[in-house]
Amino acid sequence: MGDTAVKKVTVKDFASEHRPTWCPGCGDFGILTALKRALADLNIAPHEVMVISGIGCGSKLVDYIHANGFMTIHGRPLAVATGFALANPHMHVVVINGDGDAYGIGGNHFIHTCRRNPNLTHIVQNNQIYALTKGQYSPTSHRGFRTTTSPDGAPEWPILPTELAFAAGAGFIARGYAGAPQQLAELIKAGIRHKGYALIDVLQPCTTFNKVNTYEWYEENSYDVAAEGGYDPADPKAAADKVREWDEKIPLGVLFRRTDRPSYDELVPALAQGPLMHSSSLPLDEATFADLKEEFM
Amino acid sequence: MSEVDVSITIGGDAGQGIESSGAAWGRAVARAGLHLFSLTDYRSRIRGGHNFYQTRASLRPVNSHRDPVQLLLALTEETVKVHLGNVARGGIVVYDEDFRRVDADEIRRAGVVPLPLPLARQAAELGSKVMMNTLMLGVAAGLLHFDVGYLEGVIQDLFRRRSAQVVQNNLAALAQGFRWGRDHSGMWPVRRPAPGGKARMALHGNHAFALGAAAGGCRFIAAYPMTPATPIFEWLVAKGSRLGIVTKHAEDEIAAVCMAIGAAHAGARAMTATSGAGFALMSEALGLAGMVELPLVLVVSQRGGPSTGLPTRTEQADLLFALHASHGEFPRIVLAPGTVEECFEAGWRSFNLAERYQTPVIVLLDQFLSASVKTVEPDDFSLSDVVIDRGLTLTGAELDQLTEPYLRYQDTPSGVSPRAVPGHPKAVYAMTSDEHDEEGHITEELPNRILMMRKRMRKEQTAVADMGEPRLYEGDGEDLTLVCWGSTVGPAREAAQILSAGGIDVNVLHFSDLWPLPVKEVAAALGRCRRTLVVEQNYTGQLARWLRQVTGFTVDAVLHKFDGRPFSPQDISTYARRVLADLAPTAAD
Amino acid sequence: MSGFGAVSIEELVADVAVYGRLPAGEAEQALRQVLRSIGRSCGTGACSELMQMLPPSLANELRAGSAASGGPVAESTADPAVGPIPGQPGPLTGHVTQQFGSGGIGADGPGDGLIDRQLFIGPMVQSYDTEFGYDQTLGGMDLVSVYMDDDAARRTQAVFAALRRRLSPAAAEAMAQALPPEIADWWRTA
Repeated sequence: MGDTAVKKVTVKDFASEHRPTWCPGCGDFGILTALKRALADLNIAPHEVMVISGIGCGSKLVDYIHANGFMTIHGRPLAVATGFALANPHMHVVVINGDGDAYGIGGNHFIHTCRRNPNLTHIVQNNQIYALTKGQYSPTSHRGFRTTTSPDGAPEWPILPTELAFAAGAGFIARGYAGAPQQLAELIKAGIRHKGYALIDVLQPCTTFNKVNTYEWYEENSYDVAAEGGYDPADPKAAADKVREWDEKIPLGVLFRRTDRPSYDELVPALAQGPLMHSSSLPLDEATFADLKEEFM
Repeated sequence: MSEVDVSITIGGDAGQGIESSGAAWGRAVARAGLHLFSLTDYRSRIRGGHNFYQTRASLRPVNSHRDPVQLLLALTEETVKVHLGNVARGGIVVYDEDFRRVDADEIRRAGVVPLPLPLARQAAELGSKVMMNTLMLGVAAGLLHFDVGYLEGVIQDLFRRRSAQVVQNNLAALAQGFRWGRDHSGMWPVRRPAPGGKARMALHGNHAFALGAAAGGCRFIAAYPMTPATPIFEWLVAKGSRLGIVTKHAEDEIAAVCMAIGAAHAGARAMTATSGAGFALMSEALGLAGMVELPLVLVVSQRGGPSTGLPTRTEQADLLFALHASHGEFPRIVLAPGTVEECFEAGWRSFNLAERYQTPVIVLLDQFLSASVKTVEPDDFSLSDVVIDRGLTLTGAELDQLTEPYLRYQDTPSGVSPRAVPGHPKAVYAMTSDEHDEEGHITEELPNRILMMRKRMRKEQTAVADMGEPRLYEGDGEDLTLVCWGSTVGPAREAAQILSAGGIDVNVLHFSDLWPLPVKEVAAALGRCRRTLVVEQNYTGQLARWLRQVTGFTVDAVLHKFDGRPFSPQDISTYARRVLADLAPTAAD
Repeated sequence: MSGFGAVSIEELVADVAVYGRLPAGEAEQALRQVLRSIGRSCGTGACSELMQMLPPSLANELRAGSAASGGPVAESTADPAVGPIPGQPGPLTGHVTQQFGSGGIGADGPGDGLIDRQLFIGPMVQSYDTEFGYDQTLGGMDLVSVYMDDDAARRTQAVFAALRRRLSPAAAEAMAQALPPEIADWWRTA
């Protein structure tokens, strides 16, 4: 790539010719807009980012953005992304999936990714429902939510992703709202900048299936943590309480951030030599091979 | 016995260090220039329960253990009871003289020589009961007139990281045991193994595969510990920093295989290793790799199933599973190396196949092959044999030259599309596990679906050219052909030798590539056999079924073994004689 | 035309009902929803004449929308840039303590410039009944959400028509500038 001058990336560079199949008014439109804006602001070109998704309405975002993308299988994008990021630490990796994909079937990977701290940004399209399969309740649906698999109301208490992430050791925990894409873009930028795992749980209205958690409902029940003045996301004690807030009002913004832990790739000596694409083509040298054989003698 | 071929069993409880003692003996044998084959038998426990280590030392190369053994070193009374029946007439049983329940007369009646010694007492005097193991090794060396110097070297290496006192105590135990052995060596009527030449490598299938993979450019492994595949992972982890291999112990097998897929997408030669149950968890991801056409090497070392089954025992019951795992249809390659040498080759060859055909390659091992230690000439593992072929992976320079929009899944005559690893500005593309078009975008259009399905499956046909035909070993098969796959080749070849020594002409037809297959050639090879006896370690006769499915050929008989223990050559030769007695004469007779 | 509280809710609702061929209840709901969306996307700054024209309760819808989008966005100063990654802007120093403006319910804000056509009609679409019946084949509800897009467009345009005829050309144009692109076209042709 000959040109050394840094070319300004614009939102248009990410325009895809594929029209979204999302319902009219879907919150995912706001998330897509915010992501494109964030990447453009950070001057990250389409070939410099890898967007990895799972399965679900929101996961189709990969098809609607002109960038490297990989729509994997339900619940597993964090694992695929971790492997990708470890093999190529120079590429920006963004994982995007829904609440079912991330916190339900993907729950185990979510917990371990929080503590593993690979360098990637995780945007969760949290609409508190399973939309693609047409309206079943999810791990974040509120108790009593009536759906086709919970006709008498969802029996379990929902998990609170920000709280779970905090307990699992995540180093960057934020919550955004799809109806406010400008703020969300800023959160995504902060997440990408953060060296390590960054979770951005995004409240996302589902216009077709979730008539309870509407745009109005989210707006009336959320607030900006920066607005209350003096909230320091670097303070773990304050964050411990903030990540648990939901029932009264839902906090938006960066809830917690720590920068004192290394991201996982910093702990892997084999990555000092750069992406594995190149080293995979190289044979061992004779002396090393002889040494390895010697150990069996 | 007319030649040097001595087998020793050391047995005791789990937690008595049976495995390290047996391995130490094996290492000494290899350093002395003899050929070695070791069999390990242990339980899924940390303590308690009988386990044993059986080593065979020979002047000729060997590919199998052999029953019965000539020397039994019993660290527990139970060992004598379990193994006395497997000691040859004229052989010796060494045990502690305080074992009340061991009946010397019973041993003699079996035609075996009892050798009780004050092992526990001597061990206590030397510092610890665990010295019994080293005493035993010394006794064995003394009995066999085996140069104790080799064992001294191994002992020193084994305890190098401990204190000098520990080394001293063990050397003293070794010396004492050796003296006892020499004192009693007159009771040994069989020939003793003399050192044969230069030292050899002694390693098992797992390590051979790992070495081959490292040599072949493997630079990423994510795995979840599962017996009996774990040593592959652990070896690559230990060598990770030195060789520049990124290793990851994942939270579960699903994460492991998905990480390998992600790394493969970034251009790394990536693999994972597991056993049957772990592979079951990986089934969905296997389909993902097949659908998005990513190279992936997936090692499955089979063990006794189903479910948790017999975790530390061997079986060959996942063949059909490996051939069919995951829903839907997509191309795959299945290899089943049979020897330690074939494991090394599979180590690097599997990555070439995966990248040439951009599809998953499943390598089937089993506990017997994974864990049995064999000697190998160091020169047999040579870097000049190792090829690193990345298939149609486009280089940066080639991507620079692109004039048209890049199509990740371009339809081609071979079915293989030129592959761009993400990162180049001219090849920005999305992949999806949904059905997709040549660009990689989701589409459900009918003509495209047919195009893509044909394109993917065509790769299997193209890959046939790279797959090997089954190989013939030993005799001409005038009387019988033993048909086998994977690790059974070792005992089968030895069985053929036993039978031919008895005047029966038997050869062995061994499959180490299971799919895709050059069907015509395979059918022809089977057709040329006079009589066929499939020998495999499973209940349902999976190879026999597979051969019938692929070629229409029905074998004459199947010998099943599903008790978790590997075939011994005698198991096979005995059954073969029965089969020959039962089978009608062929037209050629 | 202009003047404090010159228009009553009933008048506006009646207009929307006529233009959109809607019952009064749905007309009022549409009116309130569109006003909120205007607030979200434009803020109150570009809508001063509109705010004056509207009766208090409807003006509050505009304000509520504006507040919900969070007010002015302060430039977030982040920690040092991520490793050796091409295309990364120069390293930024500092610690994130303040991310966004002083948004809060009731405050006037500049609107979220990233809101597009979809987010504009979102709240309206969400309030529609999209269920058509249980889908036996694929599991879950069968929907009529596709039709909702056109319904939302029609209702939004009905509200726009009712509002625009009561504004000066200058004010109308100022709003067109502030609205998201496709929505601005609806506004201009309403």
